[in-house]
Amino acid sequence: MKQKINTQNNTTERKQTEEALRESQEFSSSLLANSPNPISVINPDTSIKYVNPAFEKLTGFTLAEIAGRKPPYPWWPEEQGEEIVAAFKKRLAMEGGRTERNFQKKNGGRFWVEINSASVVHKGKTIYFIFNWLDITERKQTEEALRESEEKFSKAFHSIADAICITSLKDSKFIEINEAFTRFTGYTREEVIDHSAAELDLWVNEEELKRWIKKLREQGKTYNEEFHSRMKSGEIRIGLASAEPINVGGEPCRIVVIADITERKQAEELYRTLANSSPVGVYIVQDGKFVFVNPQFQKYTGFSEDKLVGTESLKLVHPGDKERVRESAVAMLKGKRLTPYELRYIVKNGDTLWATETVTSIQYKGKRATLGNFMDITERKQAEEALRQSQEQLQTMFESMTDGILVIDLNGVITEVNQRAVEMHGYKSKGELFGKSASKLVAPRDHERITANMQQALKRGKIKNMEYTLLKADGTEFPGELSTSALKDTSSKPVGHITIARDITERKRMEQQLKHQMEELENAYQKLKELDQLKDSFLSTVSHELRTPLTSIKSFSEILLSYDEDKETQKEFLTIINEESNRLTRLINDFLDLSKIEAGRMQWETVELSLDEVIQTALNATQSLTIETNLKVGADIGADLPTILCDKDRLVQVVTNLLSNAIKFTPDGGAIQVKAQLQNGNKPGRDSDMVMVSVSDSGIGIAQKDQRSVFEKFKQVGDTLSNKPKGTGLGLPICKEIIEHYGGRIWVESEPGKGSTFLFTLPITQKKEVKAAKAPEAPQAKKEEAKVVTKGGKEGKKILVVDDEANIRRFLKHELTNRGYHVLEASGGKEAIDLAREYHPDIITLDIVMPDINGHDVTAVLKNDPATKNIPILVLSIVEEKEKAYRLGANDFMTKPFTMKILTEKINRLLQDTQIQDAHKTILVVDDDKSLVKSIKYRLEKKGFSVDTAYDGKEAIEMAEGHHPNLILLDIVMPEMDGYEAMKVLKHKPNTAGIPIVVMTGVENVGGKVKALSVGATEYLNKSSGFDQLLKTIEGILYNKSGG
Amino acid sequence: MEKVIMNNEAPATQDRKILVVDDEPHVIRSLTFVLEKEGYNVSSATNGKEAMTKIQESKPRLMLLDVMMPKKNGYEVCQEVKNNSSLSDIHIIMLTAKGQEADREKGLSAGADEFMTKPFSLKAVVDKVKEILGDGHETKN
Repeated sequence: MKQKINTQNNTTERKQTEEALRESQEFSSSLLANSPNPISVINPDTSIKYVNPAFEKLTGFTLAEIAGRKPPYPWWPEEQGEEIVAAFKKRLAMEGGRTERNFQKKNGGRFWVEINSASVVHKGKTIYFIFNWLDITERKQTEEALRESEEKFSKAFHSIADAICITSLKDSKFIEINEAFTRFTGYTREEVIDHSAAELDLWVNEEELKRWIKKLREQGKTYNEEFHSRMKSGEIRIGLASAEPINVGGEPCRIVVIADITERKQAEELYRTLANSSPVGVYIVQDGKFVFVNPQFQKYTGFSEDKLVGTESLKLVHPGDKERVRESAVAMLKGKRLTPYELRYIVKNGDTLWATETVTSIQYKGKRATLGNFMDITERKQAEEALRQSQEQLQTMFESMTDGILVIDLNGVITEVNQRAVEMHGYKSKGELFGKSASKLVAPRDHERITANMQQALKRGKIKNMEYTLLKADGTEFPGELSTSALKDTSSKPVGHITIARDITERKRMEQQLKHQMEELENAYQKLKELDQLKDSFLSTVSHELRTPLTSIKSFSEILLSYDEDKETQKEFLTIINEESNRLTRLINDFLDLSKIEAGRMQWETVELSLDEVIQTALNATQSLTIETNLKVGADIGADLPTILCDKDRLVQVVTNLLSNAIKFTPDGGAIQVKAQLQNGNKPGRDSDMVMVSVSDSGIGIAQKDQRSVFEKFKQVGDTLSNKPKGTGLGLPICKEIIEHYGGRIWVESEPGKGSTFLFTLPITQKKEVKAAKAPEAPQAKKEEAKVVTKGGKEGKKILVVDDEANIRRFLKHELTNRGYHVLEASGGKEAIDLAREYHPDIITLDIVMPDINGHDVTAVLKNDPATKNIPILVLSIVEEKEKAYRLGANDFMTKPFTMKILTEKINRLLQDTQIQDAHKTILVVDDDKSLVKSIKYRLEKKGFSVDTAYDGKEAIEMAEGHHPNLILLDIVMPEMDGYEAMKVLKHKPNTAGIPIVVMTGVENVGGKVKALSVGATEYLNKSSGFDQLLKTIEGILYNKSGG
Repeated sequence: MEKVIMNNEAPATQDRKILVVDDEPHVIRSLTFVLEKEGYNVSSATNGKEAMTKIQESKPRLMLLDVMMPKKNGYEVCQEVKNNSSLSDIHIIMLTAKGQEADREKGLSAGADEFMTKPFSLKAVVDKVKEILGDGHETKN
């Protein structure tokens, strides 16, 4: 303020001036105060004079707080430090312009201001500095943001991998490009900007360019268009270009983003080449479909590329593997790494190919795809299969071999073993043998030998068929045969051996058996020879015995004829002749008797006897002898003794013989006693219900050692007293045969010097035996009729008589009715069958030659019908067709004309057979000696057997075939076909081969037994061995008893 | 039975000594009868043992030897005789009722000069005896 002041008028003027000043000050103040911009007034000494409200508002500092403050001002940020002071100073020196500064508020927040400053000068001196601020914080922020954004954009723009360019739509010139564009094209920014693509000769492919333009025209934009671009260097690059319209600075432009896919393309190309040239099948599947298949893959699958591409890849996979493949694909997509797997493809021609594949996830044309490498392993698979089968076969063979196989290493440890070996040694599993020492399979005593042999085997290569004693798991030993081969490796070094073990227990046993059999055969042969010798000696003895009296007869006859002697001498000689003749006769008789009995040819006439009668007869017979020698003979016969069944003459013979022996061996004056009583033996069994007869004498007695041999043929024990006729040596043996035939026993009790007692027992007649035995009901039974009765009697038995001739039927009906049968008649085959079915006769007699249906057919029909097959059929025919009849099932056969006797015999037997057939064994007796057959049959039937008979080999075969006996007794010497022939045939026919055959022969033949056995006989008996032996043999065979 | 001795004075009794060995009395009887008729000096034995004794007592020129005898059979006697150097020149005719070939061979191999089966013809026996002893000129009847 100028201090030009008037004094007077001074007050008003002064007042006016003061007013004017005040107004001006107020104006200035309100200007300052109301200014929206922060203003600060600074004194020349830099203390704050004044700050306006805006200033306060902005900074947060009130005037009151900061008035008079000197720098540093509180809004000066510390970090600006010196700089800000310097700048301030400058400003004060009027060297400031417009600046922007960043200050801080009271609360620490920052603000940007544009600073203008002025100085107020008065009279040439600065009195104030005015700082005018403009709050440019927002602007600054915006600027910052923009700058940041621009920076970001620029960064992006420039750093983006893809080439970006912006072209002006107006002139197609590039107005902006990024670095990538430079890399892509090889041109720098300067070279590109303001030039067009055409100028730069970027487009290589005209087609592409056309397409590009077309797309742009149609759609205004493009997406991933592939195009070839030429670089500055001339190199061609491939890009994927996407274009979009864009507005730049108000001008319509186009922004194009280009992905450089050159490498990728190259890679793809390389890949494709690789794939195509690969020997392995390669495919690429994208979205489940083939997008690429190399030639190999096409070759494998038989499909061409165009067939494959676009098809679902799973279509080719074998149904059984589809699931697995699908799962693998899923797993791979999830990122799991997959190892190669095997799968089957069904190829074009329908075959199944085995392949092994590796799949990897790849990028293909910008998308995820699966790359598959596929190798046909069909051949390998087939080879594997073949190998597997072969191995299986080998394994099967290995396992199923009947011999055990063991593979053993050099230390003797079992490394491989087959099931058979396991079983053979009695182990349960292979595990028990793996890894174990092979020596535990061998008996300790053979260890040394086997070790030595194994060494040999390794050296020599192999060693065969060595026998050792092997061990089972439980410690039992068994014989084994081992063959060992060395196992060598590729360098022919032995690594162990393979041993084949055979359990030869069976073989050994058989060897033993064979040896045993050979021994037995040898023994039998020896025995046979001995027997023959014995027989020889027996024959010799008999021959000798016969010839001896004969010699005398002849000699003395000769003498009498040659010499004339006196009458005394003549008489003497004639007496000798007579005696010897008698002796000879006796001998012959005895011998024949014995032979007959033994051979079973004796014709027994079994009747019920009373012992009384028998003994009496015997006594009568020997009376003459006793009178001469003054011997006392007594008889003590029990009262009411039961009857016995015996042959009368034979029993008399026995008693007579015993008596005459007693007489022979008892000196004059001695006593002989005959006793007969019931023997109720203390021991149960055979001797109960027997009668016992004894003949005791006071003779010389028999030593203990001789007591058995008295019953042997020709064993004369002791000397007969000289005036008694010499015995034949056969008497007692004959007695024995007779007694034993009837089921009794004969023996002697004696002491030398104390006399002897000969005893025998016989079974008493049993009530049931009458019926069971083939004895007739009365002793005076007709001897002509067969002594056979049917069980239960004949009454009521139905016979169906079939014959077309009325006469025959009438005759049979008459005869059979007389014999107690109930007879049905049929005149023809058909009627026969009907009647048989309706009436079920017990037996059928059947003619063969009939008009309607012949007898053979009837037989066949009836035997095939379960209802009638058990009815026995007796074929009566004029035609000799036995074989056919039997084959068809006929039970017996007779030719017409026949005798009623034989017919009834056969009928009886057939009727009986049916009753006892099931329960009893049937024996076929074959011998041309009919009486022998009869005798054997009788005895066998008594023993409960059912007996068929045949008289020659042929008949034997027929009977065997037709009746299937359980056993055949076969004579050898027979007419037509001998026993050997028959046996051969029987053994040859399958339906008779199994029937055991006992050969009986009367012929002394050294090789006979051997021959018989070799032809197939089960046993061989001499007829002279006796019935007991025969029975024992039969029972032995049929019931598997020992002995026989 | 008296012995009838030949008219001609036979050579030394020794030469005409015959031993008949058989367990059957009647056989001895008949053989003795005819041989004596032929002028031989006949002694007898009924078993092998007795035979040996008799031989020792008085050595016969020839023996008629039955085979089947108790105690010692004809073969044994034959062998014994033939093995005995002092007796081995005794001629032996074996007689047997056994008729088989084997027996004949057995007999002959035992050293018998001849082997005859019973029943034999007495004439045949006598002829054989004469033959062996070289007395062919004898006739009887």
